[in-house]
Amino acid sequence: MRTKRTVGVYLRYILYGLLAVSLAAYAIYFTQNPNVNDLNRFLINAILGLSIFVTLNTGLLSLANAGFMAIGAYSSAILVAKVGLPLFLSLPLAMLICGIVGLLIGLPVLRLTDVYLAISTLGFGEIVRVIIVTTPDLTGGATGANLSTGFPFERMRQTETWMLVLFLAFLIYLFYWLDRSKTGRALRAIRQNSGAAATMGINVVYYRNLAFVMSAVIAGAAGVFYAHQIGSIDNNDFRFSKAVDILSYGVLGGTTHWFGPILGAGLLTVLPVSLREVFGTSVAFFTQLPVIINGLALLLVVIFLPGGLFQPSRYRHKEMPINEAEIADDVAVSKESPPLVEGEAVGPPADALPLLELHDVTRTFGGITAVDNISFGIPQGIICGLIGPNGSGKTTLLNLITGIYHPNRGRILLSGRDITGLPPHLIAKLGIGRTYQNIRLFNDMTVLENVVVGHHARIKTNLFTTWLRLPQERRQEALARQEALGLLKRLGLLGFASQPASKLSYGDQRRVEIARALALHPALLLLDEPAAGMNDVETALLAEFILTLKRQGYTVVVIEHHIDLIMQVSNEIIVLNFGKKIAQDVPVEVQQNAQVVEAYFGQE
Amino acid sequence: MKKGRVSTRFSFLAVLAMFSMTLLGACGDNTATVPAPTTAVLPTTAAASGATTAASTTAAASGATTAAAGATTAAASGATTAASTTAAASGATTAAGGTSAAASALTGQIKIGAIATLTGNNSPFGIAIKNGFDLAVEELNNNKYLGDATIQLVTLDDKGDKQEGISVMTKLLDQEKVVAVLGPTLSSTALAADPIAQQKGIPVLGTSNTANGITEMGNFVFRDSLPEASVIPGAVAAVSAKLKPKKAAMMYESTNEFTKSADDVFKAELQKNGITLTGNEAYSKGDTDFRTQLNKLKATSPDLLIVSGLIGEAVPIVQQAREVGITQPILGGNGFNTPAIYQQGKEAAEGVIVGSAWFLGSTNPKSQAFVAAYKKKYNTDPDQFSAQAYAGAYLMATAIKNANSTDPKAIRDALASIKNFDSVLGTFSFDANRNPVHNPVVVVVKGGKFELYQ
Amino acid sequence: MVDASLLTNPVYLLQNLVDGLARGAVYAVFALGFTLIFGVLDIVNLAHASTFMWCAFAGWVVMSLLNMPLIVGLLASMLFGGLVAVVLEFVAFRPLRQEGAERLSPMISSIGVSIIMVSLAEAAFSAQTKKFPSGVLDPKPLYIGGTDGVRVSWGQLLIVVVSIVLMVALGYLIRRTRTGMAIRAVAYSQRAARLLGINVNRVVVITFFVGGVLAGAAGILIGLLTNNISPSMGSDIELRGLAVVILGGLGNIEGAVVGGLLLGLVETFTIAYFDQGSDYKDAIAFIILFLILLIRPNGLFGRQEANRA
Repeated sequence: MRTKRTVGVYLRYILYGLLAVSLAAYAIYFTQNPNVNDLNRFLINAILGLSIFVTLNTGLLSLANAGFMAIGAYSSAILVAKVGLPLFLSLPLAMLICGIVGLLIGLPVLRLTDVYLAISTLGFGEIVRVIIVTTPDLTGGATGANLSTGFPFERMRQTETWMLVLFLAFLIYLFYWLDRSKTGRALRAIRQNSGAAATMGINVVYYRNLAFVMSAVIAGAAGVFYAHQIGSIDNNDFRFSKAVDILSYGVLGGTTHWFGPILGAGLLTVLPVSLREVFGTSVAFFTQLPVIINGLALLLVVIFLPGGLFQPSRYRHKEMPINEAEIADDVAVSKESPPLVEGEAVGPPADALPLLELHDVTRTFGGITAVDNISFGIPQGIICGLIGPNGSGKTTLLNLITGIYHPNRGRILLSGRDITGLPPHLIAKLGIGRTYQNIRLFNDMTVLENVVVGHHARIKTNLFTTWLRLPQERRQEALARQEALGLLKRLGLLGFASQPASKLSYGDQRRVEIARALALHPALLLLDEPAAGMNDVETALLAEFILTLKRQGYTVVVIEHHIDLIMQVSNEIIVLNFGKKIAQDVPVEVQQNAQVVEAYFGQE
Repeated sequence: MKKGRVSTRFSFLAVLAMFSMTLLGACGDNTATVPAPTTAVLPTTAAASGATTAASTTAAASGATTAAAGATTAAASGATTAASTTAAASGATTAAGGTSAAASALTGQIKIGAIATLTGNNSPFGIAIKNGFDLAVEELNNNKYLGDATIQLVTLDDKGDKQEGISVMTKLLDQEKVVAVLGPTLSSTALAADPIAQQKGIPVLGTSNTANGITEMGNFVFRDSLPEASVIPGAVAAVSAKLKPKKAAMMYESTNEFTKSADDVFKAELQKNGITLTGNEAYSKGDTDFRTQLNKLKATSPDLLIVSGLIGEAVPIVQQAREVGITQPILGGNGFNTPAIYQQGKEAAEGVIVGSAWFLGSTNPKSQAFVAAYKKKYNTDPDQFSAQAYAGAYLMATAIKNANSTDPKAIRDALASIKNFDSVLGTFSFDANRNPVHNPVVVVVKGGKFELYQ
Repeated sequence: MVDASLLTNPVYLLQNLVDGLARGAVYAVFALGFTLIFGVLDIVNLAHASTFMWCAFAGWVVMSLLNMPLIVGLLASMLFGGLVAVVLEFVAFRPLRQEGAERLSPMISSIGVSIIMVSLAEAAFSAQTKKFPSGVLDPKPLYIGGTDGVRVSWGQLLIVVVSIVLMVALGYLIRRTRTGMAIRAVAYSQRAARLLGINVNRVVVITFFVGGVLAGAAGILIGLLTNNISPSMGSDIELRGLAVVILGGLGNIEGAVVGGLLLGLVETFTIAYFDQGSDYKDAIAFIILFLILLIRPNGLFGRQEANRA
């Protein structure tokens, strides 16, 4: 592991060195021969790099970008050469077409997980090529679309460097603000842990589709520029190898910050150009070299520099001054952002309807019944302990309540509303927050960011407010930050606010998870072994904190092996064994229950 | 993290790297272009300013002096200031704009650019073409074809990539300041790169571009490679006259512009000759099993099988055609015109008929000399691509000789007016659209080699 | 649709059946090693196609340059494939097999290796197509039911037989041997296998070796059958191989063979019975791939597998 990191450091030096050397050579060359074509190539590749970045940054390995590039290129070629539109009009239209196709492809394909997604998008790219070859009337078929046809002597080579610079700058603007917005956080959260993201109220399917469509649209734009740079396109321009090139820009440059793919595109575009200029092309070795370097770099970066060359997250966690005034005092009663569940204001409600009800809930995996016909109700405002031997179905039950699994039978109600079968993000929005037995924080984010992600559902911003910099955007973001800081303060985590979550101790990470779950303003908080990994002092503090939550009107379900903790905080305890509920009672009674004793200590 | 140290180390590395690269860059450029003792460039502006002698040393390697700058200096400081040393020593007067004396105006090294695909999938074509260029230039210089002047060929690799093609074309024109360009290898690259030459008024002669729309790009774009439309009619007519087929079946590669357009031409020619087309089956690059298509075509009982494909697939198609029991003659497109068809196809290739611009067994003395020289230099038989490349270099040299000038416009005009030139391809002319005119040949594989089909 | 007389012609039908099976056997042989590594290690090894291509060249070197008989070429090529695959395991995959590594990383590193291998092959052998010496296989086909009957070439026969032999042999290895048991345990869960005292790294190396041997067999046989060896031969068949793996269900040995044969048959019948069918045959593999992934992600013959996440 150590050596691996050391190699990574040197690899980074080497790659940055290579980039610097090629840039220097390119600069010398450019002063001698101001050939904008190579510059345009780099700019187009940078745009392509950004297109793969959106998906990689959301944790999707899509190889569809060459296909979308083709769709963009051909759409524009047809619009320009056959309809007679100017480039600047064909660009948005081609992007729109790519967006629509991206949505149509994305909806089914994004249900697939990683490897299958990669394969199916690869198939998509090939289908696009087959379609091009088999529709000669529209696309020119194998002969390709020649933008000069019908325009003698005047090639429609309209892509100018300034257009590319402008477009790239525009994209960078969009990415810069995206990174700092609710959407950007959601995308990164999905990449790092889609399951946890969903239980923070993030609609994973929606955001995956959003990223895929954005990627398609950007790739389409690059295709438009490419078509008008070259002047004649054919299906061979968009082979699988093109998709691999695009992937390389992202993987090599970096998948965590928008500057990464631009850097990657720079390295992979400028290196061959500078080799050509320095050594000429008469020696085959030097023309083959960039390809080999490309392959080698891809391999080495994946192994030694996962995340790519440019990973600013390492520098982003510098001590960030926190203004005391920023911190919201009492989060739960903050008026600006009331809890989302209507009528579920803080404090016990008038009616006696249980907050959470389970009716005959059953879930099987293969032949094993993990949760067997369980029914219970949890009234508002209590702390309910959920205990049972290992494998008795406690965590499965939590997963069923939060929508990660759906029951085979039975119904789950939250304040009378049927939430059975709802996706996790909707259940989270309806007011169920949770923590995980095996901690699922967003490791590449700071502690503060983690908690801000918890505010996702309540931040009322969207891409428009983000990109148009509407006042609402800043207000909402500031508010979320204030609240998050307030939560961290209450959990004694303020000192860690700007540290990467992964750097914290086990116990601290558990508290960050609680803070993150509280950020949802949940009516019901589910804690899965919150004291695991904590020492006695921490556990005592945790117990105190849970009781505070109860006083503030939260309803809490705690799974815990620390029986002392459970006995101390619970109003009621539910005991599971082999997926069945064997007891539900006040702590004192549960301790006396023969079945419970048997489950824990075996038959005597 | 010791950030301070890291960044210091990094910036040191970067500076060191840049410094070393600067050095390397300087040397590299020298080796790449071999600093010309004299590079004869005739700036057109010089003519306008009335200077009689304006040969300026353009050190492309250092990039210090551009042609235009040289010309201005020459015009300002009088007649001989900027004349290069060798030019002065040889006593030749270099005239501009055609106001010259009768004596050869050509001196020093004349830079011609060449663009070939030397790496990647299509490199076999590009390498054959480069060999043809190199051999021709070597001969031209040894035989003092241009008198005192010699040709310096600057060959760049386009890697079969359109963007790279545009870049190297720009480099040849702007930096190397070539007076003419040979290539590029692939039609698709030509379609992307040639417009630049057209725009800058530098003649470009494609020696392997057969796609539609090449010479339509402009009046500076030439080719000496017969497009399929010029070869196929002759081939179909010859086969039709001899075998009198009534029905023909066709197979073509659908993913390649060249084979697809050839397929279209074949269709039209069949109709002209009153031959019924019984089936037209497609395949893709990289396919390896053609039996199903062939079997389907066999069921239509054709008298003739026509295949429009490249050599990689041509051999298995021919072999599998025989295997499925198509015993009828096979007429191949231009892709078949390589010794590989009988070297690899063996018995199955016997009787395969190919319409072509050139063939190895040609009795043309020029061609025989070329084949011998090529074999001597490269230890292998040339193919049609080498022959066309070799012819292209000769055509370009002839145009320069006829123009008696290195002015690109003059070379273009001279090239366009080449008629009945005795070339390795036979008697060669350019038509009004700068397309080649020469007699294609129809050959047949007999006894493991090509023979004229008659 | 094509001519009515063809539609009802039984010989034509049988002939296409034979040709389709042979075409499919090519895909099947290629897919075997692919699916083994995919199934056992959950790695889409995109360098498999490059290994396959290098093996074809290895066979070509042994048979054409050293004038060895087919059997020597076959063995050399299989051994070579095994070794290459093991090297790949050490270079590209083992460093990524640890806690916290992203699941997609091996696919990307295999792309990197593949790029290197293809360009090295171009540098070593040039992009010019290579052919095996003639006479390795008798070019005259066999006829069943006279010369008007159904034709089978020796090459076709060889590839179909080999695909089935390899399938049976691999199935035997996986199901009946101790090594196979270990491989299956690793496929089920590397962690569980380790707990059972299985040397996971050793099993992975063995799996890669077997996968490479299969690539070697495929390389030389497909090279022989099509007589077309070039650096791009791997990428030409790779995507179809992937489609076959998905069709058969990941890691399903029999599924890969049946899937390969099925794809071959569907392609053949599309060409044979539809006008312009040959224009669309390339789309078939990808449309199948797409549909299978969307409808039955575990493949046509895949068992419902418990979520491994």
